[in-house]
Amino acid sequence: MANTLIFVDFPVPDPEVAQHFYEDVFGWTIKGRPPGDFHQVLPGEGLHIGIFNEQTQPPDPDPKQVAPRSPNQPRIYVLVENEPADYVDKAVSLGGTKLWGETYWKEFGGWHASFRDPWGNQIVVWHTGKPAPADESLR
Amino acid sequence: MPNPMIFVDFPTPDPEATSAFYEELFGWQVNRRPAGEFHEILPGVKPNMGMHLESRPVTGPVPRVYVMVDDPPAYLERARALGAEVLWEETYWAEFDGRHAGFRDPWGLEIVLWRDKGTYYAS
Repeated sequence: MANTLIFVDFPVPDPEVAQHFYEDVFGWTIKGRPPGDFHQVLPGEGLHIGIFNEQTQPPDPDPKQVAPRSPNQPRIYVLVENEPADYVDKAVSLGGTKLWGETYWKEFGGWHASFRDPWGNQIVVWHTGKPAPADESLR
Repeated sequence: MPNPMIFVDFPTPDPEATSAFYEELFGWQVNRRPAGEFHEILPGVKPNMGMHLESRPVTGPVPRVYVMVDDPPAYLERARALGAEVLWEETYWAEFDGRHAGFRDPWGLEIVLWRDKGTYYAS
């Protein structure tokens, strides 16, 4: 099992606030280890995720100067059971920004929508629980 | 419903050069779907990853991708030779009982090299 992806974490200015946001949007269990510094996300299935304080930057032993954050970011895909738009709407109601509404990606056979959280992290909500669109122009 | 993370992709202004970097560094298989636009990374065990064409450079704090390797210093040196910036040498994280090192690739993505203790897939 060499060189595999085992974890992803994302930066926020206040992990405590971000924890509440993600608990509300996805129902994830999140633990502060320690609170305010690094929060471990336990979705209940698949890989764990982390939320780290962008000032203290654990586990970097020598936190770096924080530059202004660019709008383009690595994107984290979350598999959901319900309509992707529902999660985007929930995120927007909590201060997130809608990036695109539900659409279909033919190459990978999935429905998706996306939001940016209030701190600049981009989430793609992925759904495969319904068939491809009948209208070819939408694919 | 657990709402698991199933995939991560990262922006790059040059998917071909970025693919060559990670193919060389980690031996990952990269599929062009299509070439120069969206590349799918297959590390051999899911979750898979990807990269997408984005002309604007990435700056500031970014999500970090953790890759489990057998020898973080060796991969760190290999990444440095391929043009990466070393963020930190291998050190120990008591809270999660793991050894790790970090680098920033030439396009702004940050990778944490996590030392394989041989227990991850057994747990």
